Amino acid sequence: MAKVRLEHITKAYKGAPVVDDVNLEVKEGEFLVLLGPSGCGKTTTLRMVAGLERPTKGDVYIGDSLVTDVEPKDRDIAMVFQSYALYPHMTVHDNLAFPLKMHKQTKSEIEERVTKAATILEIGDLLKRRPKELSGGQRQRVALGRAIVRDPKVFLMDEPLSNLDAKLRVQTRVELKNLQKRLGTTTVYVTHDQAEAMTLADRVALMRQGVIQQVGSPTEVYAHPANKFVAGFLGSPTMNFIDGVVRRTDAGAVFDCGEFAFPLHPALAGIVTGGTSRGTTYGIRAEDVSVSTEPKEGSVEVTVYGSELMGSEQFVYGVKDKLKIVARAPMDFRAPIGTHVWMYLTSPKAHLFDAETEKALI
Amino acid sequence: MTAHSSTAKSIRKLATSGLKHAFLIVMALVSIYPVLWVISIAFTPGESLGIPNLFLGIFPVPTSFTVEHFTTILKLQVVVGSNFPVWIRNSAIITVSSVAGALLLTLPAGYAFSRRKFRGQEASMFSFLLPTMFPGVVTIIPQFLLFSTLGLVNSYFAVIIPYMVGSLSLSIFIMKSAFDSIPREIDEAAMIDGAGELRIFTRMLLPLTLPSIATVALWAFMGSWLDWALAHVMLESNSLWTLPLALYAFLQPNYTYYGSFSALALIMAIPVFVVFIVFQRYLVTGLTAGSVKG
Repeated sequence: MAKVRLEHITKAYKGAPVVDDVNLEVKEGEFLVLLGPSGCGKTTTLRMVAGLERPTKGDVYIGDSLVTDVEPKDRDIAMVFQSYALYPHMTVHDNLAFPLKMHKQTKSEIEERVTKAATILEIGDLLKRRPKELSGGQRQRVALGRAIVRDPKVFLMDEPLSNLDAKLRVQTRVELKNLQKRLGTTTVYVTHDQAEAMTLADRVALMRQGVIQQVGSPTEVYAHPANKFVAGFLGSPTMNFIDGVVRRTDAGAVFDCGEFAFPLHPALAGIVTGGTSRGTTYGIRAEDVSVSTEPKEGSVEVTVYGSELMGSEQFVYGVKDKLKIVARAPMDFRAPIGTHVWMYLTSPKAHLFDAETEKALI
Repeated sequence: MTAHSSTAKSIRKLATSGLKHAFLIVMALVSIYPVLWVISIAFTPGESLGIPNLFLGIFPVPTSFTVEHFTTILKLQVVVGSNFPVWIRNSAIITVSSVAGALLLTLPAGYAFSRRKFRGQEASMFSFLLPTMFPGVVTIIPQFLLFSTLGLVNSYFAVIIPYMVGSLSLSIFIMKSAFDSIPREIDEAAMIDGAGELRIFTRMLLPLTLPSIATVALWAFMGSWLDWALAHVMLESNSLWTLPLALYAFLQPNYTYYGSFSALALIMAIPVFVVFIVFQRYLVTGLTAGSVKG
């Protein structure tokens, strides 16, 4: 168990940075998820921790030692790859034993550890098989087994669940989190799947175009996104964004997007001291929009153009002058396409972003 | 109507498959016929090429059975200081060294072309194609001149070195694409698990490319074990004769020892036969490796 520290890490290919001045500290025993869209530099960052890529600038520390120029094999880390990268010509047993052999463990020690890892991951009966004789889920377990068998300082995982089918992925997610907590090993985990990040992470680091946007606990980044990108990336469906200005009126602050205006919740009103704000984006998640078939004071009338039933709830999509707004509604809410409903957008949980910098205003 | 057309279809199918088989059988006979001829002469008494008995009017079979040609070969001294044990020893030394040398050059080269980046990589890869554009015979005289300048003519080296590099360009291509077909993540996983580059090469890449290695080894083997032309030019001394040179010695201008010739040819074919049987499984996959990315 050790902490991982990245100091001003930059990786550039032909002068173009893919990872740009990243500073990040992963605490001992922490499960940190690097989250972001594809091409945001999260995998490159992970590979620099692994030692598979050398940073153009900056330093990597594992524990208290500087490892920037240390070979991967000497960093005492284990990595789970997206493709699992099991050794095809070796049995499951030999796959698990390989890292131990490379670290010159005795035969009895190897057997003991392989058995232990196999027991933890419930792959004891697969030890004599080869990777091609395993299902996707089993391969994934073997890959995890190969990582835990050596009891390394740090686990690095590069989208390890993305090759599993949806159901197995959800199940494995929970198991993985449980396993990590039991072992207490510092983990850096890369994914583009926000649901995975929210369920697994102690802390999430959101990346975009090589730059870390925000680091915080899943609830923190979800409830208090630092900018519009973070707000939009987390949550499904995507947060509603409405461009406009905040205006002071005698009755209180309103958000005015030109076509229509609605009152701002007093909790948000404080950000504008007087007069009219400059360009502002109002952000509100579907679950914070209430929808009704009856008009309500301060609500916005929209035309229904679709709804998605999710099981216990549904998402109702409304359109108002080209602006699309999605709201969460109970399962039995009836809103046929083309009918009119009223969406109430005033909520203390809404967010305001500067339209230009996209930074959160609160 | 449909039943009718389907019957017509199946008849046509049968006819095509019959034609295909007939063609293949004829081709197989054409290629196996000389072999049968050699076998029957090898076991027929006397040294003539004479027509052996024909079984079913086509297949050559020995008129009467003898192994005298084989025993003759074992005892025979065609020229001074040159007999069967010497030929076998020379052929074995030269072939084993050529195959080992070819692998020693090809495997790391294929690895470098697949896994490393270096200046002139593409140019040198392309340059490997050049020698394959000329028939091998063309190179014999220049090679002889080169080796005689180096004072290496009439030594094992004079044939081992050319055999070693003979199939090098194609072999490096084969190994490069074989290594290319193994995902880099295997290397990286092994690297993180604690393996160094040499260990990754020997424990991961080599075992995973055995079919291609078998193909490369087989070509090197055939190139040296069966070669006559280069050996004939390079090896003058009787004590350096290889099996193909000895074989040639049985074909004298005034008298040809067909019986012994055939017996020796059969002996020479045994290792080739064995190697093919053993590696058959690998060869098929090896020849197609790299064409399909797994």
